[in-house]
Formats: sequence, C-alpha cells, structure tokens
Amino acid sequence: MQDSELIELWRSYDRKIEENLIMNKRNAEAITIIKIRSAVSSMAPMKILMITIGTLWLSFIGVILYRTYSNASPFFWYSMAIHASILVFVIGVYVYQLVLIYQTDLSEALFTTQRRLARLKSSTLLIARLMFLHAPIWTTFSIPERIFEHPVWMTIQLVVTVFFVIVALWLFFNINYENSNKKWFAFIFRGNQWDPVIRSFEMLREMERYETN
Amino acid sequence: MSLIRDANQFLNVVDAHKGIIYKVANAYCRDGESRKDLIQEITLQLWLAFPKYDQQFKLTTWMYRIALNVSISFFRKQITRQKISHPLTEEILTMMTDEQSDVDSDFILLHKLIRQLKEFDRALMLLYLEGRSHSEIADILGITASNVSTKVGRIKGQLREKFTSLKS
Repeated sequence: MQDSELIELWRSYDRKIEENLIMNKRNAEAITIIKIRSAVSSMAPMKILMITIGTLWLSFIGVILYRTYSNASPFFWYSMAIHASILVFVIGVYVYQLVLIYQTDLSEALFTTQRRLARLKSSTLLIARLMFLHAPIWTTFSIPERIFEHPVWMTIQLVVTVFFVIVALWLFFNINYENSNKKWFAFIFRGNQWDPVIRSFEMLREMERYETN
Repeated sequence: MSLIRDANQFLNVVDAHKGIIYKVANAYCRDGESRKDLIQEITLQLWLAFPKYDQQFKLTTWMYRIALNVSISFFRKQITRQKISHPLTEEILTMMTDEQSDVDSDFILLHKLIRQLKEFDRALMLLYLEGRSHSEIADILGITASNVSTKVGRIKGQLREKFTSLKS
C-alpha cells in the first residue's frame, strides 16, 4: 500500500464526515451556559484542604515539640520530630501537585500537558512512600524512659522497632514503577484509585522513549 | 452582551471545525456512548479555554491540542470533574448516516489499525492523515519536527505491513 492510497482512504472518510456530520446547535449552546470548572482545576480544592490540615497539624506538633523540649521523654520528642520532618515533605508534595494543577493548560502541546498530568498522578505514590517511611515512629513515641531497667522488655521493643524500620525503608525504596508488576505491590496498591497512578508511570516512560528514539 | 457574542462566535468555530472534534473522539473512543461523552467533554473544554485562545496559534492547532489532550486523559479515565447539576445527555455532533455504511472496507481496516496504536502514535498518525505539516504536528505534540518525520515513517511502515498481512 502506497502513501497516496493511505491518504486517499482517509480523504474518503473526510468527505463522508463533511457530508453527514451535523452540529446540534441547541445542545452545543447548552455547553456555553453551564457553570463548571475545568477537569484539572477541580482537583485543587482537595489539595488545598490537605495542605491546610497538614500545616495545622504540623503547627500543633511544632508547639508541642517547643513546649516539651526540656521535659519530654526523648523517645516521644524525637519520634514526633521525625514525624514532623516527614510531614514537611508530604506537604511539599501536595504543594508541588497544586502547582502542577495550576500550570496545566489543555491548550498547551500534548507532551507538555500529558507530562504534567502524569507527574501529578505519579507523585501520589511518593506520598504513600513517605507515609510508610514514618511508620516506625508509632512504635517508639510512647516508650517510657524506664525501659532501660527491663532488659526483656527493651529487647522486645528493639526487635519490633528494628523490624518496622527495615520494612519501612524497604517499602520506601522499593515502591516504584519497576516493581509495579510484583505481587506484593499489587497487594498494597490494589483498587481502582491506584490504576491511574501506575498508568501515569507508563505514560512518563512512553513519553521519554518517544523523545529519545 | 459580550458573553452572547462570544458564545455565538464559539458555536461558529465548533461548527466550522466539528470534523476535528469528531475524528479525534472517534480515534480514541470506539464505543458510541463513551464517544458521545468524549465529544461533550472536548466541546466543554474548548469553551472553557476559548476566552484564553491565543491568536498567534492557528485555530486548528489550538483545537487539536485540546481535543487530543482531553481524549488521552479521558482514555486514561483520569478525569475527575465535579458533577454538574444538569448533565447534558443529548449529542452535540450527530452523523446522519451509519458510520460503517458506504465506507470502503479498506478504510474500516485502516481505522481499526489506527485505533490499535498507542496514544501518542495514534495522535501523530491522525494528524499526518489529516494532512498537517510536520512542523504543525510538532507544534501540536510538543516534539521536534525531525522526531515527527522519523516517527511518521516508522508508524506508516508498521501500518502498511499490518494492512498488507491482514488483506492477504
């Protein structure tokens, strides 16, 4: 099949559309009177809510850390400090997503817009990774200082905390697109809400291949 | 007054270029009901973007960009739009005859093969068959013209190969 035949076939389709496609003016007109925000910007309120809640929580922890600096158990104080530090990154990711939402313009070039949308989706996985990363602090913040007087108790605590640290670090470094076809990954991220996230990684890869090949 | 004038102007633009909306939606949505929704979504996004239309770009370039961006996002089922109080259920664009009637069987096969292409390859091929120049395709997609040229050659080769093997 020659190029000219290919184009001629498409032109026959064009002619058919030209002759038979009609616009229903009343229905098209209805589009111009409905009040609606663009698909992308409608995601912004949820991100703003998350940033607000996160910032308020962070401020609350900040006050507690400041007030209890001299008298709190070091386990509690450092656990909360780690929690607050990771929360700063989580809020940072939400801010990044909000910036991407406001930058997204459907009238920009296909690759520019699709890259932004894919980054917006894939960054959700970074939030999940950060949430896993701070899991061990829930095993440490309530440890009393007198634990040092009880070797057995201390050993059990140590085993549990080390286990959580290893699992949290392992998940933080292994939750990525390369492992998205593994069973453990599918177990953690099962459900329709995660499919677009995984798909966004494929999209980013595809765009990268497209621009380099 | 200005809004009414804008709406009329917008409807004229959509009417004059309705083929673009229909062909892009048809390339990304096979199912009639989903295609109707996609056409509605594209028209809505065109209307929302209409006040910001930059006249330094060709109108068709602007329309292709929005139609393709919406279709690819729609195709990935990533659009989470706030529910509208009175969703539109009627079709905006209607084909007066059956889509498959009076169409060359070769065209049906070509369309089927195009629909099997990946999202970006499909956009590229659609624009090529629409007779857009390499520089305009590059502008719509956001890649270089030389990249367009390489990709068009490669995809055409693949299409020809599949077409011939399915025909024989």
